[in-house]
Amino acid sequence: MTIPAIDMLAILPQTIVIVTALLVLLVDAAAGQARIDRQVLPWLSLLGLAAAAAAAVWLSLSGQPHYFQEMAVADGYSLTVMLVILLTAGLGVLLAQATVPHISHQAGAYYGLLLLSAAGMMFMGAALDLLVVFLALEILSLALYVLVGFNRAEARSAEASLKYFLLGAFSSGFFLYGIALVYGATASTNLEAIGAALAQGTGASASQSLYLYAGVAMLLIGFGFKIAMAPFHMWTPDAYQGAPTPVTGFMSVATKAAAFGAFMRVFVIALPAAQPQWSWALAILATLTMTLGNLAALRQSSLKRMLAYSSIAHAGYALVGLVPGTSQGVSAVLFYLFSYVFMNLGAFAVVTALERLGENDVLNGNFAGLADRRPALAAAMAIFMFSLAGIPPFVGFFAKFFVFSAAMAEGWGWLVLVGVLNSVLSAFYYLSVTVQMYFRKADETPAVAEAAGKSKPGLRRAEGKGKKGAAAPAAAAQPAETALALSTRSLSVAVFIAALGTVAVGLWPAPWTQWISQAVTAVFGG
Amino acid sequence: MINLTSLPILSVITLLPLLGMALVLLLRGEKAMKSAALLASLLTFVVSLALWFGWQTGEAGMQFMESMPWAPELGIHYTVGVDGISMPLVLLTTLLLPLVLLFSWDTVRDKQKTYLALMLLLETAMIGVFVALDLVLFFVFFEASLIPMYFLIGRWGGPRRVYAALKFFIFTAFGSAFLLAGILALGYLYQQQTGVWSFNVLDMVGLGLPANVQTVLFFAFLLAFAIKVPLFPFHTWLPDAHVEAPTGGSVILAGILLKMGTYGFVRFSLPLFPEPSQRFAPLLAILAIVGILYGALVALAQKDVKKLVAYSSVAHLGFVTLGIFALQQESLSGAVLQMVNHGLSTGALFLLVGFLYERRHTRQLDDFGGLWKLMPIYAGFALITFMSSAGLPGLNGFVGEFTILVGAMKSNILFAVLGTLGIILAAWYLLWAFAKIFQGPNANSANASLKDLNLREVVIMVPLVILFIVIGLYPNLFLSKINPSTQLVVDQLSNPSAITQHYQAQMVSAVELVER
Repeated sequence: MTIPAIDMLAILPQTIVIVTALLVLLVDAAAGQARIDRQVLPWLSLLGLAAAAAAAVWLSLSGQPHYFQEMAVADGYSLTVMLVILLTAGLGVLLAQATVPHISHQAGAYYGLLLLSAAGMMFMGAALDLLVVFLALEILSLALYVLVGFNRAEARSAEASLKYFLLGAFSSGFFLYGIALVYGATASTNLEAIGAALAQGTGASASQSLYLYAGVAMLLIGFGFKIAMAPFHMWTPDAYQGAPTPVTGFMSVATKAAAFGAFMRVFVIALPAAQPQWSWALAILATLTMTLGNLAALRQSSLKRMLAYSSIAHAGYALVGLVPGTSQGVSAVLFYLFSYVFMNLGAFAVVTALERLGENDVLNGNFAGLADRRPALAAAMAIFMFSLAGIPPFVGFFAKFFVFSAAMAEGWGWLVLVGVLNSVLSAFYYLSVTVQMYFRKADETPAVAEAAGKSKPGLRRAEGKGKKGAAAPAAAAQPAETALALSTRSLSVAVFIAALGTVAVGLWPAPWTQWISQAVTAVFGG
Repeated sequence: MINLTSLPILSVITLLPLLGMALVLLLRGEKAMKSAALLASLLTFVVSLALWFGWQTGEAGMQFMESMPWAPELGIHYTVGVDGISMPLVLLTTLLLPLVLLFSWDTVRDKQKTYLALMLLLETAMIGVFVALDLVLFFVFFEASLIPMYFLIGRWGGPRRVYAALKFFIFTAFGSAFLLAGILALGYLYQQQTGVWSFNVLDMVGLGLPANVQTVLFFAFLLAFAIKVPLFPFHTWLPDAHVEAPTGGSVILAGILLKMGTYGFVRFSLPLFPEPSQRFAPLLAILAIVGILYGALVALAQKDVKKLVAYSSVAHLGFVTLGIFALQQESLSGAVLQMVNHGLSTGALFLLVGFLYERRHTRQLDDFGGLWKLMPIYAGFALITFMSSAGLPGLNGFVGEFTILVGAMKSNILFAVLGTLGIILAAWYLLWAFAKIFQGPNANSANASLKDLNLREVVIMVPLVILFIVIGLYPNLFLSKINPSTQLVVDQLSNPSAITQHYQAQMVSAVELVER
């Protein structure tokens, strides 16, 4: 028996991220004795992420895909997904620098977990086998469960973590059961092999096709949970609102990118045989997701909660691109996720900037008069809001345009109409933020906040709890005051990068779409 | 002599205000910012005159074309060009902007930097709308123009500014959603026929779509443009927006933004969907006439001058729409000319209201009276402007309305009769308002201290008044440039291949342009 040759290059970027995660934990552990300033940890993380990104760029420029057995691959597609995740993680680290010192002394654990979950996400896009998808899903989820509950002094953070964990574990069960059923129908867990078996007519008998469709449905539930697709989105608002804001920003973008990365490969490569069925299912689910997300977002007074519902709606828009099951659609979804990094993480960066020490919830009313107090920050937020609403010339417009045109190309006209009308609906709540920032005066704030509290008794109760808890870390954070200057600078950098991306990629999308469509066609065919 | 057509003049005109905006954002000091903004808009105007002087009169198709790939996977190009329909509107835009900035020189004191930056951003978006020949490019500019106007109303507006700004934004965005879906569908249909994506309007005209598909798309486009115009019954956002907007915003809104809708009818609806355009033309003509009469009657009932002017806009834009959907060459030319006329005279009316409001902080008709003696220069300008708006022969408004009515008469005598009734009503409310403000006894002692127009204000009004007279006495100066293009649009309604051949020859030259 020979030991199989393993092409380690295939998992080089992930390896770099995992090694960096371990290094961060080691440095953190040694920091006490060796008198190392823990300020070095985020920079170490950023260095690792940059190295991984460099490796990914190098691998994709070298052209040939690298296979890790038949389990994972570093091809143009997976590397693009990885780059999106790495970019998100990088911005996530910048955001975290402003918050982590105030909520915890365990900075090492924070950055380590962030990197580990990023590594899991990177495996999602690279997976060629359903079991690898499952393993990657668990790696990223376990790290995120902890991160969501990282603000131990805040009751809502713990509640969010528990909710996310229970429902996440449940959905993992569905996913695993789906794998088993698909295996039952096709005798394989390898994506190519499943596709080949289905193409040859395996799975055509009545019992096998029952297994197959039940399995596909369960995989759909598993993915749907991770991307926050209705009706599996229930955890999203609570988890997003309760989690520390940098975590919310990171997970809202990167988890989506990772889950879509695997979602698209599984459905387009392994299950084209069932495409007519899943296309319809996805079209209906996308409609539901967009509409529910937008309608619910209209009613929110907490900005994080509003952004949570908005991110549900955006999962719906992105799903529209997957409906046709074409490589044009896959490219469009990738571009969507790429642009979503800038506009959504940018919005969360602004929310982070507005959070007072340890305070973990920003109301819409807190934005009142922001344009007078912090003009640059308000302008950036306005750009993110218009972009999220899909107003040109910002990147969100082209993201939606490409997704919708991919659906149109296969004749999904009604779905496009649903999509554009949902964009108008979403304009209401995105505009309300700009109304606060630009058209209201700051002194109106208390009245607005109070009114919001009155209309939502449940929320006020939660707020009361939150405030009690918030006092502790605020006090604990006193020594961290010195870090404040540094952290605001890193936040400004994050906001600037996000705003620049939102404007520049929107004005000049061609280089990015070319990169993406080349990478996608190489893997998914013309 | 330099060949003007070989320079990227349209791109320069479109981007100059943006450069001005960047400059304004960088500069400190009130005077420096204001001067930079004014200079940028004046420079844009001067460069845009190259279109006028380099114009090849008699050419029906696009001139000054430029093209380069933008998002090539989907065949989206940055393609710009102007014909006799869009060129006057570009000039109108570049002319009004410096005047508005001059008006704002002393009157906008709050957040000047943002105000100036938004104005210049708006200019880029508006010029872009009129020069874009790619549907996606057009849509980007069309939507992008919402953002600065939204902030102008919401930040510098009156007491109900937030409501008005939101209503303006949401109404237009709602229409645009259908426009976007229609544009996507057109690109898809083109791809079905030819195998490649394109959103170039010159490619689209030869598509020869089945009538039912045309009808669906026609209504998708119509909704967006009808809200923008605004055509009755989609007009409810307009009075709110106008009343709350600052004077500069109102001038731009009435003068230019509303023309995007009527321009859309001419540029897109008629050439792309000739079948439903003809079938539903009577319906639209009737809606236009309802708008004319309704706008005029409601204007008669107003106590607020600004509201009166806003409703008169509904009526005037009804005239333009009537001219377009009478589907006659004369009326179409008249409609294009009337777009310019309305931009000039309603722009002037809003400026006049603004001068008064700056002095007295009221716009109620009852607060004024007898101003003829107190402010003779102001009254003189106002008289010419009111007459221009009412369509007095010898001034610009008459020419536009007359040519529209001639075309409407050819199409349906009833349209012409009802349209004429609208002119009478317009004369009624305008003269009534004029009498209220300038004649009779002074209603309020506070008026006694009113100062007449200063030099800056006179400088603003003079170019407008000159144009009233020039267009009124020698309309051919404009019509000779407009006519060939409108003739092409009308020819194409009965014979779709006419425009196709004309444009296809142009597309070849555009492709050569890209390759060079």
